[in-house]
Amino acid sequence: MMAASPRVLDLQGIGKTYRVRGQASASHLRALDDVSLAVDRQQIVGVVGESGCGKSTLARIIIRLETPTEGTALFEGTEIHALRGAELLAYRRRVQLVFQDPYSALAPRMSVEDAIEEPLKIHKIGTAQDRRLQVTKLLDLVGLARELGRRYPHQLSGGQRQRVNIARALALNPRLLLLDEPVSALDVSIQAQVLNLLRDLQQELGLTYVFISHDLRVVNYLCTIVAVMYLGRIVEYGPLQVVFQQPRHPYTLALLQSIPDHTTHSGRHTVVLRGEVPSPVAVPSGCAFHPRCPLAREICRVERPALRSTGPGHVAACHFAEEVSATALIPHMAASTSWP
Amino acid sequence: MVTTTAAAKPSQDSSLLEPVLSVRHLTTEFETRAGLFTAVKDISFDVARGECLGIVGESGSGKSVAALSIMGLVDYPGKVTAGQILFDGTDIRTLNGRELRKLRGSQLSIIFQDPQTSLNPLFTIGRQMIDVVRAHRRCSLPEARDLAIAKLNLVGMSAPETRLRAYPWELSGGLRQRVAIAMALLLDPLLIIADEPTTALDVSIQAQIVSLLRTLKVELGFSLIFISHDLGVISSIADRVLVMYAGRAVEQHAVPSIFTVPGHPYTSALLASAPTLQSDRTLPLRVIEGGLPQMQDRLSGCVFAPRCGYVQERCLRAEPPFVPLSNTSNHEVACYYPLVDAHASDGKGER
Repeated sequence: MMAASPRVLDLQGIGKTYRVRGQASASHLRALDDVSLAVDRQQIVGVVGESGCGKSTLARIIIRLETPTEGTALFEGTEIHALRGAELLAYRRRVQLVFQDPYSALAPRMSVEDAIEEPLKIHKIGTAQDRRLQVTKLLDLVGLARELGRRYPHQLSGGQRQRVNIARALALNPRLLLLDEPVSALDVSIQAQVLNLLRDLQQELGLTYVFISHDLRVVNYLCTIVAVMYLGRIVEYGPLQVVFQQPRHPYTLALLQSIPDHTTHSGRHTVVLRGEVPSPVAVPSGCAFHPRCPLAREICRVERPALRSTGPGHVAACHFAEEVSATALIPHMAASTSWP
Repeated sequence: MVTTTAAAKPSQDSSLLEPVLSVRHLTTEFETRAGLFTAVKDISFDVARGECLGIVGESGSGKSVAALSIMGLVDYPGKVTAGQILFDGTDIRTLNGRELRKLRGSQLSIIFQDPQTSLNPLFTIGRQMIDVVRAHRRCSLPEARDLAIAKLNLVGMSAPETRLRAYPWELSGGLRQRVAIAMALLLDPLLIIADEPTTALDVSIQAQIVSLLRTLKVELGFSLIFISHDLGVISSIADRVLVMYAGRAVEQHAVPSIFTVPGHPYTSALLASAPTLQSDRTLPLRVIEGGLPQMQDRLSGCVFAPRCGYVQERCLRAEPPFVPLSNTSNHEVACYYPLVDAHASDGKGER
């Protein structure tokens, strides 16, 4: 089956270590550790985690802005980091990235039309006339009025700018879109517009998304699969609805419980996760989450739990995965939360 | 719950009933090359003792300018052009620079969004905290230092003595925000304004900071204005919420009613456009079409009218006043056609 249609993206045991020059001696920052992630056609895979968990490094490795120190990254069956020449150009057409800050991602002195046309020019696609036509189509596709084409980024609102970035990412007909916190900088009402647009485009164009976000509410709305990262490792992975309703890693549960929700008022009652994410330069022994984990026991300090199956398509890296749902109830599941 | 500061007042009972802060018809304008820009227009609200008022709004709604106006921190080209800001009985607008400085940092303090920029990177935490104490109080260095340590303890910092020697950039975002809260608490303020204090933090740290502020507020009895764009965060700390849009106050009501029975179409649309873990994944999110009115758009009617799904002819003619739904209601809405009637919104929040 694998041979018949290779996965869009297949990451196997990706590791990334940076050398950090300290005062006394050089130490190592483990940004990613043994990350494996498979993405099939038309899936929307959410990668969630707090700052420093390695989610952006992962995106940078997929887009070839960084080289992994270990592991293989396959795109449609081919190693991404071995691509050269024409193959590399083709890869760059097929995979596109949308960044968080829609303003700094656009050149301030380039009009919207020019910005959207640029990738087509770089890849020498069509005549000048074809390209202009394509730009108009792209403006329509992302719901921007054609008149906006002559404007400059500073004349646009945040939501419009992010639409321009999306149009630009779509210009080359990519198969895979990496979205790195694409709505985090936007206001709530604008965020909804962009999320709806992303969802429509995915269906219309049959795209595959890797959606990186720290906001579980947004991920819940858009994604079909979710990978939860903590200190450079994937700690839980599975179909979104399963993972969010029955998390098997205490970190996932804690993240879900930390989200304040105006519809259930849950934030008032939850026990918060103690402590902070440790530095990736000094990752705790055993399970990296053990210093903050309410379930931690002796074994967690010593032995690092491997990702293991906890249900169909669902894996978690916890020695006590089966106890996770029993020990704490997700507040949003208890719909009858009382008001104070 | 009696606050230490309130107890020191001569007329205890009446001062407890009076709001700590009473803002009336506050208007703040900025001179720009394109003309006068009204960032905050005619907003009025009260903050009771020990109460947390949440101010929610999107960027450009004027919520931060309102906070800065209360602190007397609006500078040229901005200016508070009308209204009263009664803080503990005194109109802040009538104070001179020296009197304002005396008030700020002691009775009235503010916590900003990013402690990375609000703390000075060149000085240690201890130096900055001691400076604040000694600017307001005649006391010895060891006394000021002890006070700083006590407040760091209060915000849950481990080993506060050692932390005093740390520079802000040596601390994580969550710890820096704890330091900012400790600094705000140094002189037992009556009112703390927290402007997006958790926006720059990760969710688990955000939950810690919100929970800390909530606990401290109950223990110490200060009043709190909590400004945020995040409805979830606001709902987890505020007792009452003021919704702002394009510089106007559009709705004000108690939590949780404002979330269950919003009266203003903007509030309602804002609530519906925010995804939650409960959102029905099969439905598209509700969107508010269009954007904030630009300053050159001179609108005669309701500022939300161009984006409102319930707009009527009257809405375009004159701006609706911000008034209670009925004589007995504490639910204020600036809308000619509120989505609820007074009786429904005074209930306990059942839909």
